[in-house]
Amino acid sequence: MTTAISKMKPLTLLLFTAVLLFSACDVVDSITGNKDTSGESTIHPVLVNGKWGYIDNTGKVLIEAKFDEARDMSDGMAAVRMNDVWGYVDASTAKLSITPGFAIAGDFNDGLAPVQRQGELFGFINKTGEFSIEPGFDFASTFSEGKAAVRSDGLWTYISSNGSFLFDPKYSNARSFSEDMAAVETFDGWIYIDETGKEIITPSFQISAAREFSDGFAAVQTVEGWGFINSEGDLKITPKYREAGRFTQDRAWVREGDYVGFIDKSDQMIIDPQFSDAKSFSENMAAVRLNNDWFFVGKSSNLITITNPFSEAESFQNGISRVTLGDDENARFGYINKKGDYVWFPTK
Amino acid sequence: MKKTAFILTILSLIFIQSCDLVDSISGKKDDNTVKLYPVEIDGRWGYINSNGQLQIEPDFQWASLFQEGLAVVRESNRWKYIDKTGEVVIEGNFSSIRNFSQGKAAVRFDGRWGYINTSGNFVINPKFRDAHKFSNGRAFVRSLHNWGYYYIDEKGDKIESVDLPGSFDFVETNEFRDGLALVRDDDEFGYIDKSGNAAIKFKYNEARPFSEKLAAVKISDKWGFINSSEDVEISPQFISAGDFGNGLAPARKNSNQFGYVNRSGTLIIPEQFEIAEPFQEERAAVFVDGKWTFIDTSGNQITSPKFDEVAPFFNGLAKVTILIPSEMDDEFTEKVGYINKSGSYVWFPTN
Repeated sequence: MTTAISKMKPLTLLLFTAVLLFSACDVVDSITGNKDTSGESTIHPVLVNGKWGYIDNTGKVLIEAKFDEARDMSDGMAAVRMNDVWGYVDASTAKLSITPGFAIAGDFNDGLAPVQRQGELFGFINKTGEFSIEPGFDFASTFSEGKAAVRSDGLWTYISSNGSFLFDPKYSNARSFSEDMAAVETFDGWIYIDETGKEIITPSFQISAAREFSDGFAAVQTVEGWGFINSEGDLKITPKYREAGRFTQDRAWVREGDYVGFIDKSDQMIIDPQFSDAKSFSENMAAVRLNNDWFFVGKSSNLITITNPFSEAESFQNGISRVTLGDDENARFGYINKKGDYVWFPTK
Repeated sequence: MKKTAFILTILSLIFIQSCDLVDSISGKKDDNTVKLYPVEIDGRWGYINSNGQLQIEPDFQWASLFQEGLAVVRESNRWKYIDKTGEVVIEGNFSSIRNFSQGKAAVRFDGRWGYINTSGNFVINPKFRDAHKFSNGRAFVRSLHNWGYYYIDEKGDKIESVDLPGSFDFVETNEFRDGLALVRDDDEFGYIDKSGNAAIKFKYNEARPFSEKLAAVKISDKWGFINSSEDVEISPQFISAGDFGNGLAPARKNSNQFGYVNRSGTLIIPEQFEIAEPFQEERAAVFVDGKWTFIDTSGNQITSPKFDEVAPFFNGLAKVTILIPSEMDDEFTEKVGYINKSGSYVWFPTN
């Protein structure tokens, strides 16, 4: 995951900087992951004359550009920064609903978001901006499946939405719950626990890195490389890849040698390794980097179907994808639909 | 000394043109009724018909021959494909493009080669370091992974073979002809079939691709010709030999000069040319006294030797180039024209 972070373009990095103190993997997964936002009013950040605002799926401006940073919507709320402090806008009212006042602000889920005021510990606020779970953790991540990983005195546990510990803090690292399981790090490597905290996947081999479960599979790293286990903890795809993503739409990206391809759950290489980088499939499209630029491959054809070059491209959500033209201070951000047409022409 | 240098220059020019030669020799004939030929007028390229009448205005920075109804042009510093009305039909972010063959064209996209169809959509992803044209349903490509060369099928999948090396060395004439391709592994040449199996063992130090069912190969210091069953049809007797076309192949047996042999190996056109190219459309380019001309299948020169560069006949015309030495420096001005099979200019050389 460190590689994923290092390959991010400066702005994306900026977006994440404030929350990098969380476990990097959790943050990236939970921010860019497949949120089910269907039926909700969806808002997407856009940069206009140096300030961030929000548009809807059709490219109409919903929230005027006045923020210094703006993150994607999660659970109907989106974190925004004004000067040094973060607050939240509410997608349903298209208004700033939680006044900026946090040094660090995580994403909402299950109605709660981890936040930290300058010099204080992490707690969780509700959508009115009040603390539902009082500050008391040295780190905290976004809720998922009713639980949030928190660190207390250097060790991790999980809390439920009433703030009570699932068990006493004991792990050196912890990922978010997904499909009723969570990866936690012990002295002997990574294992998975169930929603009661019971250690249910404790393989005989050592797992040096572990991803969340998705589509019944989780990517794990052993001395042999990356492979995948199922929810029983059985190795279904033999560890051999240099890197591996997660399964979505029966596809996972894997790196073999220098290049990334896509496998299915029977470990068949559906798109042979040819990309410098790739992101997971969503809505039948996957962003891929050829040499310098990002494009999109379609799931049915396995061919590059969107041929406009982007310096950065994110996964499709609700039929649109955020794309970047240019680099660094010249970066411009726009949104395309699945035909590759702009819903929002890149602006800066 | 001066002459040698000049010939060397010419030879290198010919070498540069060899891609065109290969394309037109093995390429699918553009049998559409409208035949168009690129011409350069005052530095811009347009197209004439076979009567020498301008059909497409000279609006392009460069223009290629038409293949399968489309031609590669350069316009506004971008590579594009036009149809025979001169209209741009495919325009992508391509840093390099090649002519269509069997419905596909190799294009370079973000530093990688792939194949598009005539609608301009990718049919094989840009996943190669290099990609050559399709013929017989196969194309020669260079791997992204280990830089090795191999063949792909029409889906872009590698043609695997258990008893052959995973990848081959580069050969200039690498396309499948008559169902066979010339391949090289280190210093040994052989031929593979479309399934990737060794149809003819890797045992030749030098060899040429198949043409009209015969291939020139070097057997113990002399060139002869074999058929696809590996039988020697023309015994090794030549110092050098080229490809068959119209039943004749350039060869030289006793002298420093080339003649043409028939399929029995009999010298039909006597040895008299410094360089001799294969026949194409009943005409062959030959180099005589420092200039090029063409001969017919009886060996008669259709013009006096007067061209500095030539391309093979294609759709009844041949592109000929005359280099005019500049008075200012060592540069040449290139003037390109077209001749018909009688040797008359259809388009007088212009630039």
